[in-house]
Amino acid sequence: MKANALTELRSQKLAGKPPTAEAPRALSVVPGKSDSKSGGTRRTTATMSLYPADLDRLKEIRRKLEDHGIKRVSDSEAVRVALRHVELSADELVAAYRAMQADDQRRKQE
Amino acid sequence: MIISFVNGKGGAGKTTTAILVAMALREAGHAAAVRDLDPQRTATRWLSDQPELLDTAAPIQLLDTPPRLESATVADAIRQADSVIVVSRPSPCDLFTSQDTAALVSKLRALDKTRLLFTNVREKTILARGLDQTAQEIGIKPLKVHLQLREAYQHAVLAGWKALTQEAREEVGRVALAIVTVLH
Repeated sequence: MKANALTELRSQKLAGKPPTAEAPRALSVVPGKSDSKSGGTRRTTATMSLYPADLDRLKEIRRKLEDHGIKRVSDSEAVRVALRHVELSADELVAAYRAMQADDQRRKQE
Repeated sequence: MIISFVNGKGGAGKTTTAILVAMALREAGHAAAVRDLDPQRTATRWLSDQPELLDTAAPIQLLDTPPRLESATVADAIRQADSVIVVSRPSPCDLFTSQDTAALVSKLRALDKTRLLFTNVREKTILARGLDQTAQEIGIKPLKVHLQLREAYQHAVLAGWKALTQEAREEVGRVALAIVTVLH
């Protein structure tokens, strides 16, 4: 029985191997600009298309937060709340995506 | 680097093992974290006081998968991992699900980076003596080490690495080492 597995584990070169890009993990973190608005933390400006149903959902999120005394929630904050809250289950995400495609009637079904 | 812990049965020890291995890797200086893919969110809840173990940006991600072999999440986790660890208790009750899990893994990928890890092993029992035979029946090459049944492991997932005895740390270290060695 080895007496010092942790020491051996320390010597393993693992960090050099990059994460698999397409794995079901967090999206790659793209370093954004540090500025006073983000309190020195990294943020990235993104542009996205939202549909009326999405905007209604964001409005609903803001309303729920306001009900609990959290006022002046921005669209960005509402999106971030939604992202943090989402259930990362592939089954549910696929179902949501399919429903979204059906609602949009814009993209070809895969 | 992605390592997926899978078994179609709940209670096999996937979450506990993923957390313990992440702790051992971090203790050894590697940036590892558990990625909680189980909708029950057990790992997320257990690790509420150790958020660093849930760092989704850590380069080594240990995927804790749901106990549902029909789930697309499990299939994704098996396909996309650098290594798959089928976690199983040695009990006869777990054998059939572990065989089903092994069949799913072999359907989705080559088995060269897949290993079987026994958990909740009680030394000096008939089941412990028959691990090699059980592994053969499951059909996945076993790691040469296993995790014993220890109450300390349950404490550690909530209270952290320091809750483990030296002996338990060494055991988890050996398991973590065996798992990363599969990748070489």
